[in-house]
Amino acid sequence: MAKLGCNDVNPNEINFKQPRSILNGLLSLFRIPTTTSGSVAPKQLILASKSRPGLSAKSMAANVIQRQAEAGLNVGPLGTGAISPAEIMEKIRMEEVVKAITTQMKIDLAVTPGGTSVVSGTAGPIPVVGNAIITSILGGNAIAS
Amino acid sequence: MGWVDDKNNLVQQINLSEVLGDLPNNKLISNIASVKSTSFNLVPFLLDLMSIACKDTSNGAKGCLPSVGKGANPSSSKGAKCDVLRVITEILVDFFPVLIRIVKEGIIKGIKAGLLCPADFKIPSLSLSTSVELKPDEFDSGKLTTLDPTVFPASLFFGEPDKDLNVFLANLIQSGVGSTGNWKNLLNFEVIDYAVTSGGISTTDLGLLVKIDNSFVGKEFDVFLKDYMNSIELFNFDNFIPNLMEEVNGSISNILNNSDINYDFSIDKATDKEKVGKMVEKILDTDPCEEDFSLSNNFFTFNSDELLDIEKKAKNRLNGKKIFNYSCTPSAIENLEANLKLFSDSKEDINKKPSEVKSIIKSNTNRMLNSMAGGIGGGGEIENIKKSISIDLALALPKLSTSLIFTPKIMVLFQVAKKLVTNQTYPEPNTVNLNSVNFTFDFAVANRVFFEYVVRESGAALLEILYNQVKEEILKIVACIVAVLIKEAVNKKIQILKSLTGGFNKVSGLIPIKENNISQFL
Repeated sequence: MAKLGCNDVNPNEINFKQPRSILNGLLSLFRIPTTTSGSVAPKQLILASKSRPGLSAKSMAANVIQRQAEAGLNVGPLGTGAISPAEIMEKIRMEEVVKAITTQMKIDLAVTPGGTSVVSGTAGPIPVVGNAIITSILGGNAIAS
Repeated sequence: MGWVDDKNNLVQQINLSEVLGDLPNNKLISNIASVKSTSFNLVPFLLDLMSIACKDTSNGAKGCLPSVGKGANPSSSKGAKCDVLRVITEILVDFFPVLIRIVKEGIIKGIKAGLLCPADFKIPSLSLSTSVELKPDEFDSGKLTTLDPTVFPASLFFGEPDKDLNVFLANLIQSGVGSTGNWKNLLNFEVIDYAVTSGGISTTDLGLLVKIDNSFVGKEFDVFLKDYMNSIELFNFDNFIPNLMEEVNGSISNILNNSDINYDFSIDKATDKEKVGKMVEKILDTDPCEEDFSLSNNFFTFNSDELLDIEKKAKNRLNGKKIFNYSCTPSAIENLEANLKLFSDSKEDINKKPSEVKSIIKSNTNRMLNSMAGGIGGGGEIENIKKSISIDLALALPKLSTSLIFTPKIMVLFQVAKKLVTNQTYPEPNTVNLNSVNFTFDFAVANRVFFEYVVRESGAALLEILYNQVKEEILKIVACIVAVLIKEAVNKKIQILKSLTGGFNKVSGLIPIKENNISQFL
C-alpha cells in the first residue's frame, strides 16, 4: 500500500506532507543559472597584456589591508605601535598565493582551429607562397607571473 | 545528506547571500534550535528561516533589496516588515482562507482513506445505511451542543448561525426531543431519546437521528462530501485566535468550567486532550515517506516521561494555564478572560464595518499578546516574549485543526460516512466499551488512518503557507545575488579592458594601474 502522501503529487511539485520535499524545494531556489561568457577582450588587446607588471604580493596585501575598514576592521598599527599581526598575516597570505601562482600554477593552452597561416615552398623551380587553414587544435603551455 | 545537514546548508546559503549581497545578517546558525533538531516537523524551522531570510532595507541593509517598484516593501520605513510577530500574525489572519481550504480538503481525504473508500459510488435509495442514530458522545463528546452559542465565552466556540453546523445542532438539541431540521438540503436531523445505561440504571439522553437528504440519492458520495464541506464554516474567522489560545492553554474551557454547569471539563478530559495533542506532535515529528515508517502502536502509547508531562500539562490546562519557558524561567500564561472578551465584543464592530475585520482581529491579537507578554516580562523583553508566544500559537495550528474533527460538524459527517460505507458507526457494537472521558483519544486510536490524514493535511496546510512566504523572501535574496554577480562580471570585463588600454606610455608600455602605500612592509 502506498504510504500516506508520498505518491499523490507530481514529483516536480513540492509535497507538503513530505518534509524532505519541502527542504529540497527551498534548496533548489538557490541554484543560480550560469551562462557562458564570451571572450573578455579583443585578441589584439590581449596581446597588449605582455606589458602588464605581473602580480605583486605586497601590492595585493596593501590593497586588502586598505579595504579592511569595509569589513569593520581597524587599519594600521596596534595601540602599542606594533604592526598588526592580522596585517602581517595578510602579507604572508598574499605572498603564498603569488608564490603558488608563479611557481606551481599550470596553464595548458588549446588554440581554436580555423586560423590561417602563410605557407611557402617551391613547385619545381618556381617559388610558391600561399595561405593555409590550421585544422588541428594547437597546444602549448604558459606560466603566470 | 542528512536531515540536519540539509537544514544547516539552507541557513548557510542565506548567510552566504548576506555576505555576497551586502544584506543585513541575523543570528548565528548555532543559536537556532530548530536547525539542530532531528524532528521532521518543519514548522519551527520555517518560522526561523522566515526571520533569517526576511531582509528589510530599514534595518541597515546597504544591499540590493528593492526600495522602489513592485518588489519594494511599503512598510519598510517603519522597520516592521521582517518582524516575526508581524509575519506570524499575517499568517494567522491573512492566510486564514487558504488554511481553511486545505484543511477542508484534508478532512475529505482523511474520511476516504480512513474508510478505505474511493467515494465514487452512488448514494443508495431507501437504505437504512443512509441514516444513523447517534448517542450524544458519538457526535459531541465535548458537550458543545449543551452550550448557549450566544453567550460569552461559549460564543467563542461557535460561528455564524447560518454557516456553523454546530450552532444549528446546539439550537436543535436544546429545542428538545422531536425537534427536526434540515441542513442546507444535505442532512436531515431529528432529536431523539436515546436509551443509556449508567451504573446499572437505565435512563435516556438526547441523541440524534441523522439522514442523508433524499436530493442526494443516486448522486456520487464524493459530491456529497464536497458539498457538505462547502456548506459548513470550518472555523469562524472572528473566533480563530481565541480558539487557538484555547488550544494552547484551555483558557475558554477554564472560564466555562467556572461559569456553566453544563460544561464538565474534568482532569480526565484535560488529560484526554493532552494525549491527543501529544499524538499530533509525534505524528508531525516523523517523515511518512521514510522507508521504515509505519504508524505503529508507538504513536498511541506513552512512556512514563511522556505520561508525566501529559499529566502536568493536563493540570495546567484544567486551570487555563500554560507554562511558558522564556529565558529558562518558567512563567504562566493565564487569566485571559478580558482579552478573550475583546474578541467577543468586537463582533459588533466587525458587523458594522466588515471591511475592517482583518485590522480589528490583528489589533485584538496584538493587544492579547501584549497582555500575555506583560505578565511574563517587561521593558525590552516584551517584543521577544510576544514573538515566542506567537510562535507557540503557530505551532498550535495543526492541533486546532485536528481538534475540530471531534466537534459535531465533522463527527456527524464521519459517522454518516462510516455507516454508509461499512454499515457501522463508531464505536462498533461489541467492541471495547468506551469511557466517554477518553473519547477523543480512543477515537483517534481506533480511526488512526483518518486521524493521521487530518493531522498531516493540517500540518501540510501550514507548511505550504509558510513555504510560500519563505520562498518569496529567498527569491528576493537570490534576485539580489544574481544582480550582484552580473554587476561583478561586467565590472571585471571593464577592469580588464581598462588595464589593457589605459595609461599607455611609449617608453614603458602599460603603467601599473595603482600605486599602493606598502611602506610598512618595506
